[in-house]
Amino acid sequence: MDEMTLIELSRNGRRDAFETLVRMYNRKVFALAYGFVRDQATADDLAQEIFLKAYQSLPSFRVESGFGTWIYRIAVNHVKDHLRKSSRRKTVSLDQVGEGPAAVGDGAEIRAHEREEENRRSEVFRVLETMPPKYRMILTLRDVEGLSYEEVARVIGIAPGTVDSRLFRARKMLRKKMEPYLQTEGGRP
Amino acid sequence: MNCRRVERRLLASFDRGLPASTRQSVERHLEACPGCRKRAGKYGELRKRLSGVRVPELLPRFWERLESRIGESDVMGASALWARLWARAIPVSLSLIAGFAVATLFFLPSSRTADLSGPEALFLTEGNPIAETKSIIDEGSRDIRDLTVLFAAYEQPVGKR
Repeated sequence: MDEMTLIELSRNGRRDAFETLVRMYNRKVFALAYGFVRDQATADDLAQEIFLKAYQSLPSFRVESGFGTWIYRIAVNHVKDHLRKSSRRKTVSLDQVGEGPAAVGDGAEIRAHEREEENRRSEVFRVLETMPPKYRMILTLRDVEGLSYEEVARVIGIAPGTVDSRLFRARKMLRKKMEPYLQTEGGRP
Repeated sequence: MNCRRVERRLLASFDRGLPASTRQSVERHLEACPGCRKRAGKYGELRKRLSGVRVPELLPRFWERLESRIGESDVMGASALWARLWARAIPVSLSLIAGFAVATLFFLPSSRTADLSGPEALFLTEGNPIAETKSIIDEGSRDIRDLTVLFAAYEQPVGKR
């Protein structure tokens, strides 16, 4: 059954059709949320809320956008709202960088090298949290989630040219903020 | 090619590659410029860290949990619909009651008719003065009839006639 048929059936109240759509996209939506919040339970909860919103908004879904882009757009807006609300509650300080990994997996089972790698990743994500939301969003979609230029443009709702310039500024800012924690030398394009 | 342009080309190469000639000039610049070489390494490291994120598994029974939330939202949606209908029903009922009251006041005969004189009462209640006069003439003796007709226009309350 193709995606459009599933959407039509879901609109007519067929839960089994919506279930199929959810199973097609739940990992992607969860991964997107996780890329921002770096917490399994919070990301899961956000993914649930995103699909609930999508279910309630099915009547307003427009065929031309494609379900994947549409659900990503809902996800990005929902995560943005979540980040805005949570930023009111807590402020992440750069002093927190290097405090250790976020809660991923069972720490006791992770080997020393993997733990080191995870620490480094956590550093960059903590720095990412201190960046303006529009830069954080574009870096997560492009460099963490690996969405194409065109997909990023459609999901955020900006022109591909703007994606280009915003991405450049975001990467530059991240590199500057991460300067004290990067010791790499050399490199090729 | 200056350092700023190299940085831009370098970052563009992460997304869509570079034409062979541009790539060669960027590489030549990197060989000659230690600052840009270092920066390129840092961008590479950042990219590796960002893309290497390990995403844990979804929590169990994702769909089942979502389905129950959908069910709850449907129930809440129905309750909200009823609440909205009730909220609309209250002002509609009030306006109907007010309309009815106004119509009653406007269309019911006024009780002030009792304070009117005979001719006023006849005129305002669309009575027939000729029939009224005829009924006076038809009753009683001639003297009484004359006096009654003569003073018929006296302002007396209708109820006393």
